[in-house]
Amino acid sequence: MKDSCSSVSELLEKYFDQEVTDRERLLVEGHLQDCPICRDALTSMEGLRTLIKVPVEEATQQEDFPWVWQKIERGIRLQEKAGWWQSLRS
Amino acid sequence: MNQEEIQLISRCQQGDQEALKEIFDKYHKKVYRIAYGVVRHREEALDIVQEVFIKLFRSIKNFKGRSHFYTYLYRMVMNTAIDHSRKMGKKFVSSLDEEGSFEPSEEIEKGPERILLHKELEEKVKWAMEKLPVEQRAALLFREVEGLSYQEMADAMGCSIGTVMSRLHYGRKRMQELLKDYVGPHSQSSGPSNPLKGEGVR
Repeated sequence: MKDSCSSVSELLEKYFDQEVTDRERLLVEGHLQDCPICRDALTSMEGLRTLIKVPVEEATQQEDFPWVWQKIERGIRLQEKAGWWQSLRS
Repeated sequence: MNQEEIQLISRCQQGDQEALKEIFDKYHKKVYRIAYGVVRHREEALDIVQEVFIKLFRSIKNFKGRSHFYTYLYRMVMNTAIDHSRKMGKKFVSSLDEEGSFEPSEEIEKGPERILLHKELEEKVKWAMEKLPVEQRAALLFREVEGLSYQEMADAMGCSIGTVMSRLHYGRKRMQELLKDYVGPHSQSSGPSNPLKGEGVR
């Protein structure tokens, strides 16, 4: 790691998350032009994001959600029935 | 919150099941993504979605509108998913062993081998996620999957922005260590052979 990296290391993650101010963005982008180490660090963060996100997105696309809603409706009806019986008993 | 959402929540608070259906239509995929991200098991994630919306219908009266509705919902999902995982004990432990005996395949471009590599990589990510404390896992899911801002994450997790940043930092660091063969600039995942890239999912 170069000396100049330490000045932006804390900002790099915020930059990746788009949480920096305009001034901080300029600082990081200026540094990135000359620093392959920090560019690699950004690439690693992007790679990790893909690895975490893609399987979740793919699983979501495969689900049958209308069927889940039917189960929710049934669950609510059962709870209401249970509540009604309980109110009769007490 | 916009006026439309305020009215929708108000209807739901009065017991209107149609309003709950509208909330379900709007948020069920987000709820599923977080649930699946925590448990990494499709059927269990669907059970959590079901449980969350039934619980929401019962408890939405307690929502006072002090925060965004989706952060209230995210918090409910996360708590339900964590409870669910704890109840299930070790059921979700990956088939890969603690030391990570996973051996990456050789460079594979297409065909059944590529699908196999995809599955293996998914297993490896699942294994790595399970190594993280649940708070770090939550932070990664909220940021990397849902794209929440630090402030939204802090609201959903009931902590400070500083804590959010710390959880994200240590979660990423640990994941990068565990998945070092896949996330570095010279890793398999950065090349064209990465089976999780170039499939139209962002």
